[in-house]
Amino acid sequence: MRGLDRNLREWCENEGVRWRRELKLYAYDPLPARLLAQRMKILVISPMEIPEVDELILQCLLAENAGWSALTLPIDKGRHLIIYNPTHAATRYESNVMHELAHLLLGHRPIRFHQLSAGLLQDFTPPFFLAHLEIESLNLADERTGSEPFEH
Amino acid sequence: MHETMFLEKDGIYWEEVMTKVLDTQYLAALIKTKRGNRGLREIAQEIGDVSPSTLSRIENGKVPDMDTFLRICDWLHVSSEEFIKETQDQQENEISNIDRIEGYLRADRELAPETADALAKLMKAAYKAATEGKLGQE
Repeated sequence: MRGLDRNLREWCENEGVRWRRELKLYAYDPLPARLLAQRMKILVISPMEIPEVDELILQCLLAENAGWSALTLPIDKGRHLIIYNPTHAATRYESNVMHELAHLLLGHRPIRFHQLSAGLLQDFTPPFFLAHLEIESLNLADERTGSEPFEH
Repeated sequence: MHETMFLEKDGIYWEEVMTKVLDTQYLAALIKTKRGNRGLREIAQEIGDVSPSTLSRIENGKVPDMDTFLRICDWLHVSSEEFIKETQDQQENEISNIDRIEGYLRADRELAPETADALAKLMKAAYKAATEGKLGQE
């Protein structure tokens, strides 16, 4: 994968320094995801902290290799909630939560969830033309993979 | 109204796609019109690779799978584009807040259907709890 575009790299570095300064950290200090989230007033929780979640749902999501890392939900008035997969190691937690925070810092617009035929998210099924969407998005993904603005 | 989609996988990429709706009512109406008095079985055979019961469901407004849809378009001699329309504002407003959940998801490209379903339910529960002020630490 290609490196960061120079302008974006500069922006990222400045942003990193800016947030560290806000948190009274030195520019070379680590920037823990939890600290940054707190400063951004974003609640970061695990599925177990959400009331009224069925035990079977938790079992499924907390199973080994469940296949999800984290998700961000816009709540209202610019508030966001991050739910992370607590079965991942601390290092991966950092990467997962930072990734979600980066969506917000970069002002990405959220996806509306619906079911794709591979079964992305099932319960939100207004009669969208699912297969069409899936093909569109996969094609775009193939074209764009090389120009993704983040290094991974 | 153009909906923007953000799709996120471990792959890792993102993109924006406009959300479109399949006009199932229009599709159903054209099938019924062209079928006329002929039986479902006969028409299903003519279209190919579709069962009479599936065809009946589509006539009742169910969303067909991609292959079936394209075959029906061929049979109708109508371009598939004809049936795709942008989502309407009004329609959007009729969907309840909970059904309009949006967000970002970092997950494997191939999520098991059970996991996908569980995530959807988790998001609903989280959204509900958050809007009702039942999530602490804020």
